[in-house]
Amino acid sequence: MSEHSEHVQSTSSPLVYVAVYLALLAGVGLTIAASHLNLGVFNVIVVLAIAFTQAGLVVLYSMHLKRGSLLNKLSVGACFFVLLILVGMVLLDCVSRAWGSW
Amino acid sequence: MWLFLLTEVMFFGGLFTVYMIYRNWYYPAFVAGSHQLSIPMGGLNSVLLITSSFTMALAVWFAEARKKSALVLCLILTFVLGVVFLGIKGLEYKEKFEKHHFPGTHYSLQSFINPASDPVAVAAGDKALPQDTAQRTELFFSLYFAMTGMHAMHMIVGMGILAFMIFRARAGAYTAGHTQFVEYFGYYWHFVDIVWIFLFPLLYLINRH
Amino acid sequence: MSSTIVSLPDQSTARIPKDNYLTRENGILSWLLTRDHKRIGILYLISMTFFFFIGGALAGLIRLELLTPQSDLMAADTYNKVFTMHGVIMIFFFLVPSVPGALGNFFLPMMIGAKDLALPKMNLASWYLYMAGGLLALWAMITGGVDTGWTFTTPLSTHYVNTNVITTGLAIFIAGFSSIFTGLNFIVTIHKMRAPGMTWFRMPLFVWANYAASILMVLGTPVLAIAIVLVALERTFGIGVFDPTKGGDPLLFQHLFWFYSHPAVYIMILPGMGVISEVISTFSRKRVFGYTAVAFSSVAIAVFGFFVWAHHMFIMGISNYAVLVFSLLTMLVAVPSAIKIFNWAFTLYKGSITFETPMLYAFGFMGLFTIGGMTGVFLGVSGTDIHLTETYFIVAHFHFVMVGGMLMAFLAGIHFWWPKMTGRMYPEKISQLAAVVTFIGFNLTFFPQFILGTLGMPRRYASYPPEFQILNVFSTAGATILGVGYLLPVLYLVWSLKYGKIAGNNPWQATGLEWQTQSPPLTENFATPPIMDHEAYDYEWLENQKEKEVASVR
Repeated sequence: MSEHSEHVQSTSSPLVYVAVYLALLAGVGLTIAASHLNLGVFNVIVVLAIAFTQAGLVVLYSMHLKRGSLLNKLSVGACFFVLLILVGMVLLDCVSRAWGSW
Repeated sequence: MWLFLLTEVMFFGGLFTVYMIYRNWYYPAFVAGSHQLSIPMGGLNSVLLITSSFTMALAVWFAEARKKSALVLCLILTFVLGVVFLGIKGLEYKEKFEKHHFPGTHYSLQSFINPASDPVAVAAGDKALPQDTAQRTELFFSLYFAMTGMHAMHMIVGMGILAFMIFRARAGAYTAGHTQFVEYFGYYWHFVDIVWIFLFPLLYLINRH
Repeated sequence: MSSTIVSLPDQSTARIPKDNYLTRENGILSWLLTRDHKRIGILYLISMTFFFFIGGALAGLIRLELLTPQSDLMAADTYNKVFTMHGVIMIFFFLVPSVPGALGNFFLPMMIGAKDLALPKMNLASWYLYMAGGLLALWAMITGGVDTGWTFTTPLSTHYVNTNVITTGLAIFIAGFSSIFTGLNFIVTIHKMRAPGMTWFRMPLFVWANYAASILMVLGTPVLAIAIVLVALERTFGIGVFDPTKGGDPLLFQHLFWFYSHPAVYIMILPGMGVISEVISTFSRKRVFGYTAVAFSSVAIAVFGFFVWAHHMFIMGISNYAVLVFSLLTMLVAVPSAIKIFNWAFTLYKGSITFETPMLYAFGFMGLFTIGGMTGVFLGVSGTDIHLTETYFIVAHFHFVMVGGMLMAFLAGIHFWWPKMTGRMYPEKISQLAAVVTFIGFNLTFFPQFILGTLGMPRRYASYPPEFQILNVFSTAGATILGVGYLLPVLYLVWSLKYGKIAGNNPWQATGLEWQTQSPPLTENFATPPIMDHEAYDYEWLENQKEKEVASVR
């Protein structure tokens, strides 16, 4: 396998990682804080939004996807899409049944 | 490595699907179950794991910069943080066993039918649940143990590889231009971190107001 | 039909090349620790033949039992174990790894001009995992078996049987990893190791088909893995995820199971379709009509295959809205398969068709897969599915696509590439006979099952109403013929290893990089790395080559 064409050059300084680290910590704090608020159904949405943002930061910067090839980005996107199908369509079935709503 | 991680995403994705269905159907039971988990411990674990992710990213950077002792230091730090994480997890599990919240034949509904008997439930302000809803808390804990257990298993495997890497790094294997192993392991470790980033709010923080 | 395109070297002077992948190293360890993709392909071929005949023996037992309306050959519980193990072994240990493991491993690198797969050690690990899973499944079978059906439907599998569910589940879990590693290897190889000039659209369609199947393997198999893990946890700890009394939903298991198992059927069939593309092109001496369409339809089948899984669950309790959505999507997934059939038919049109054995199997494929696929559409329509599901109509449908389709494609591939793999030709007359016998036996076995299904005979029952007996007897008679048809190739192919005619480089005068090198190939595949300067299926380029070819060296 040709490593040289595959290898993604790292940043010139590790400050990016520091920034991501602090952002992730902030996210944890925000999440805990948000869970103490009463936002009704939006609690889950806010918390998931923070989690997805954190995951996005890790994937793009710590895992170098931002500087990676288009192929890598597409693969991750495709996987995410398939996961969405799994979760979405199963949910579609489960919420449209009367089962379990008591 | 990306391809392998995609398979892991689908694997955990199945578990998250199961979680989403049952949370949707048995919300009150999930709330009561979630209140039994300790936010300080979970939050601390989050911090530990995120920090270990940071040290791992630094390790990769040092490997590329060919700074051997810094690399080894970062790998050791990552390992230590992982050990502490697992230790805290172990304490949480132990506590759950003692309170008979592990699903199976010894599962106890006491904390949910009679919250006054359980200081944690009292602190969270839980009301008593009817019998059938209380039984659904076992499902919550099943998912808790399944998901965190699967996550812990992945961490243990990761730490085994990390230990191997520390030895190899000290011998200079990664600071001579061949950094792929460290980089790819870094991806794996970041993935494990991401799973926890989702697990923590979904398990620990259901309705804390 | 006496015309043939076979072109063998002069048998009095022809010799198998002294240096080839079989002779390069000797000894059992050189096979068990090999990293040569060709040897690993042979290892897969031998082991999957072994599993095939075990699965086949189980099928024989099923058909024997069904000769009579009563459950007299075996108790109903035993019958349940027999059909379960037949399904598990045939699907997970034969069909899923068949073409990718044996033919894909062997030829994918050669077809793109590479020396080996991208990750040879992972390839070997893949075979060992397959063997481990297979042996564990056999162990589970011997020590009591499983009787839940290969679909492990909950809550039967989690709460109501005390057979070896977890062991078999573990065996499938391990085999799943084998599958994932193979798929991973193929994807990386195709992206990273194509020879100079080998663009995506110059690759043989076999490679496209395996690529699409690999995507399915990588993204679908983990969901099966988690489904099995949850069943094991449910059985061991009673966690309640599939237990209605604890609030669980048994249907959730089916969602997770079929999310893999529907793409799994495409994992099984796509590589077979790849083989058919190669065979039809070679034996009509024409490039595949609509190369781009066939290539994209492979990917389309893979993508759409992820959207339709709940058509296996129409009567299981999913909501009506889900039934509607999945039924509509199922109509969609039939389209790319049909596109392929049309393209192959147009390839045949005005081609110079000859009827060697691989082509006979390919014709069988086209007819039988079309019938199987169409009956799939009947089943995709939820209204008819309600009546036909869980009857023999389903059994007939999937056997038409899997056996009439996939197995025929596998045999076509084995015969087509046999000369390349071994350096020897199989005996043509007896192999054509075997192909015809298989075709006749197959139709006699499975066509009556369509009728039985519409008449209402349920599947997975050891006993049935006496009025169904005559059709069952036909079916069993056909199965006997089919068994002969499958046994013959084993016999004559082994015979040909010693006594078959020497094949030479390119007995079929096929395009494709694998045919431009010696038979059997060198360990490193090509003496010098090839450069691809022509389109796929370029028969004019082949003519040019022959002019330059040295006929003999004094």
